[in-house]
Amino acid sequence: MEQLTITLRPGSAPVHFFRGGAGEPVLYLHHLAGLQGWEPAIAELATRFEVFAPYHPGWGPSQGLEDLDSGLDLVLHYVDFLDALGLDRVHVVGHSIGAWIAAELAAIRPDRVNKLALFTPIGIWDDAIRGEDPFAQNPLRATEVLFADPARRENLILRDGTVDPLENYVQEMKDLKAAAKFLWPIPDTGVIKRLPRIKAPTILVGASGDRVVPPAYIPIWKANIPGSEAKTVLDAGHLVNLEQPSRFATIAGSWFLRPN
Amino acid sequence: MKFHWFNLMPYPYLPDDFRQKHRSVWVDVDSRLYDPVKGHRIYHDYLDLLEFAAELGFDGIGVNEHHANAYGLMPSPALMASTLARRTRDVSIVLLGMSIALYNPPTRVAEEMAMLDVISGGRLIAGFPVGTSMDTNYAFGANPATLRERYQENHDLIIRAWTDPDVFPWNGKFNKLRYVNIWPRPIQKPHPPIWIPGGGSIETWDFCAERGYNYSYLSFSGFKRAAQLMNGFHDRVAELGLPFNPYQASFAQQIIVAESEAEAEESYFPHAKYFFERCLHIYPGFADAPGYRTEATIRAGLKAQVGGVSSGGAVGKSFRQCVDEGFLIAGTPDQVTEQMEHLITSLRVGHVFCLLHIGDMPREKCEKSTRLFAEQVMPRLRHLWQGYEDRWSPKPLPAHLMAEPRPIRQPVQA
Repeated sequence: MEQLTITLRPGSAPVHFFRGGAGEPVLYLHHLAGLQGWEPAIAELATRFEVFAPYHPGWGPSQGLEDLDSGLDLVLHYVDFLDALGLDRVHVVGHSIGAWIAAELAAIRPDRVNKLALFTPIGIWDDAIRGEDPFAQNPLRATEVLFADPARRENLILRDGTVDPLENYVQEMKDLKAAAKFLWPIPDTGVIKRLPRIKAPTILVGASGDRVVPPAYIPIWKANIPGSEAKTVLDAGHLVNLEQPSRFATIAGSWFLRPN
Repeated sequence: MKFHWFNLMPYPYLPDDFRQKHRSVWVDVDSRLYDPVKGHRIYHDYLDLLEFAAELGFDGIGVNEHHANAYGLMPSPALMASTLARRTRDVSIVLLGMSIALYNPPTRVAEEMAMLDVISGGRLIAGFPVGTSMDTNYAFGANPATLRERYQENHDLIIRAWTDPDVFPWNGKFNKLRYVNIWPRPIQKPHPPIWIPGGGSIETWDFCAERGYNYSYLSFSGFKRAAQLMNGFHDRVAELGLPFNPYQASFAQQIIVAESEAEAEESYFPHAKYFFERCLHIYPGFADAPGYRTEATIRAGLKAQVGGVSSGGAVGKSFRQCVDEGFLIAGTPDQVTEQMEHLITSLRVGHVFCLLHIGDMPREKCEKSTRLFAEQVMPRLRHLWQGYEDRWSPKPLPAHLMAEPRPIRQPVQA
């Protein structure tokens, strides 16, 4: 594994990303609370694939949130990212807000996406289902709502080995601010009308304990993505990758390796 | 030294078990607790108190903007200011203010404030708050990631709309207007004095210092805890090589004046407890949306101005503790004069917002306390800051140009 940066255009903020493993290329797009380094789920995926895991602009060390105003800007950012790395076609595993970006990418540039795995995708709103507000949380336990078992929140606090409470809080607020830019005040991104354009074989994965994107949203995504399949991970909340890393890697990996 | 009378206009009928049964006085507060028939009387009591303060010689009377809450019943402060403009003559109308990032297009603010300045004969102070996170992000759905950028653009547009005599296009990031041309235009030139209510953000210091605006620090933690922020502003002015002027700074303080200390405690303090325990009972998840405070402000350890973790600081404290720690200035006229002088000189402020109405205080008690302040405290502090020019108060029309509104007419008897 190596931690790298790449500049997509002269003068633009560098993208920070991890790269590791060997095999077919996989783009890993992280959830709304950021990337916790070379996470166990990513490491496991990298035993079978070459994984690229960038920080979205505005999350972690990646700057450049102010240059992005819309989901389209995010998609173009990742088209540029793939171009810069010389990656023509990739599998994409997207999680939470990353699943929304992945779905937009697959809808707008179907030629660049091989297979798609969307975990706890955010970006569709239904008044009858709703879901808890990931932002209106007590700052002393801001991210509890993201876990089925709040004790596993430790996995998020220990991001990048950083344990200083102020630094951790500053980083948490920066990551959530970046997510808010695209999901505030209601996470209805309009992606639902573009989902039928997706050509990539897609698996949708909900989490039984997800309070932010209740599992009842998964059938809506499935109904709008032609030929897609769906699964539910038990004993996990919105951040499946941190609560069930092995299940996460297995589901994505098996989907990408399954002959279609 | 200038004194302004300010009423937050809280809802005074929150139940005794409000803290236990409800998680927040803001955003998701139960609307079934609001009785509009009682509300009718409350508005008139509160407006009467503001007019009463004007009669007693306060320099300004103040209103502000909050949404979806029982802490302050003024979602539209311009409505309150407009009735005050009609029913008063000499006093400054301190509109502190309209949350300019929430108006789309913000030329609405330029228009309404210009109307108020014209109706009042040039008595308007134009406050431009960012607004609390509860109001802006949660009640009005403004995106916290772009709130301050939007505030900045809206500020620039309002100033240009007031000062550019020509029709102009505005091609902003948040506002696109092919024709900007507001009517009416303000009486005060180039525009009414601008005051920036702040507290939770260190960027506000630079903004006020560089633009020559009044920095109005609003806090319910009292003047003893305010020194850090006030000194931060004064230091910034000095660092920029600008002259110190106390009138560029103002501070809000809750005040009780009574015949005796015992009366202040027994008769008035329960209303302050109502305010601290019910009106500031804010769910922390609504106090500070991600991005509402800048990273620099978080690192400086500054809390949001209302609803920050510290705002419940007076809960459970005794009268003596609240006075000793500065949450309240309270006591006899002599005691209050002494404490006020300490506040004014230690914070170096030329304007104080006197919060003499607190919590569920009934009108008669508030009138008595306000009168004691106006007659026995204010005159003894007027001499402070003599020799400094107050460039942050309005410049009204001369008396001979002022209109004379008719008194309220009685129906003609048949």
